[in-house]
Amino acid sequence: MYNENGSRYKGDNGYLLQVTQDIDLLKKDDKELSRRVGVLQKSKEVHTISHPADHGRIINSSEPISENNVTDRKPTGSEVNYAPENRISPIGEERNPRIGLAHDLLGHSYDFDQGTTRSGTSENGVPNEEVDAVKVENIAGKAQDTPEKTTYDGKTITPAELSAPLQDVK
Amino acid sequence: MRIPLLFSYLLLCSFSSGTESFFDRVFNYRTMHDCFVAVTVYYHNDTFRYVVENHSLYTYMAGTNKNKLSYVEYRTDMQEALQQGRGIRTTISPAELQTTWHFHKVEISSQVRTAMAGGKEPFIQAYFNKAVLKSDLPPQDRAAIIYQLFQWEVATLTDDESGALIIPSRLPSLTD
Repeated sequence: MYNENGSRYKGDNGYLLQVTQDIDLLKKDDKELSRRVGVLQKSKEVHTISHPADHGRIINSSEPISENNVTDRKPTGSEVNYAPENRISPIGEERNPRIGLAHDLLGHSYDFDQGTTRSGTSENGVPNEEVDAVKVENIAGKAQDTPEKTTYDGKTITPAELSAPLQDVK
Repeated sequence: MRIPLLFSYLLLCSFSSGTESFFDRVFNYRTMHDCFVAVTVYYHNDTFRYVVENHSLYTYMAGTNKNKLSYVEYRTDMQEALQQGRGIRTTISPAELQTTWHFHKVEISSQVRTAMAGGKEPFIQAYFNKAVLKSDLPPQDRAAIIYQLFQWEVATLTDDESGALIIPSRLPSLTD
């Protein structure tokens, strides 16, 4: 981990260290997740991660810097809200917190970064961008023996949609 | 990723208290999944009720050029309109409002109307498991539930991770 000036970070910021550890664990969880982390690290776009409570919020999220770029499928940075201590999702399901980080940082933020956020909805009315984020989330979940997520807002994501390749897997 | 310096900066920010007002929460702007706003829309001689996420409403109001309507101006005007019971006039058809601008038309079913008559707390208990909307409800009731909660000054939003409608003020605080 490095400071912006390139020097090695030697601080003891607990949140920063925890998030960095979670990102490192995601890299170890799966090759594709590792590749996505690498893409974001090398990106010209800026992605910041902070605690939801810093913004008066209590749930994880990822916000694009430019909505227009998302619509136009052009790269943009993002602001990720991530609570690494929260093992219970907002709907009361227990899951490793970094599965939530995978959804937002390596799902949504990655798509914002690459200009690959899909518009429209799936067969059952799930936004396509959420289908893609769930698929990334499932990669992280698989590494931790978490059951595959097959619904979003109570709507089924079909097996065909879940097994379709991610948009830009290289 | 510019993590370290930004983290250090953000830690200097104060933690929010749980005392924010209804409108502070509603207009806590995000570009995805912020709170729903209930608005009355006048289209020719018809009046419709809609719920729409705050960022989508701002995008609609600002049109293609957000430099012409700053977020602060939008918030001030919209909050005043809502508090005075005013709506917005449009020349855009209801169908286009829904498909292009992500407005959701409110149609109150007899079941929801009956639940409304019981008051706020029984209504929330009927439709929510604590802070989360029950998943076995007719989809068309969702907008009506959001609309009525807004009238009671209960803010709702969509949880990005699950897609569920939640009442953020009823979720346990991470700083508790």
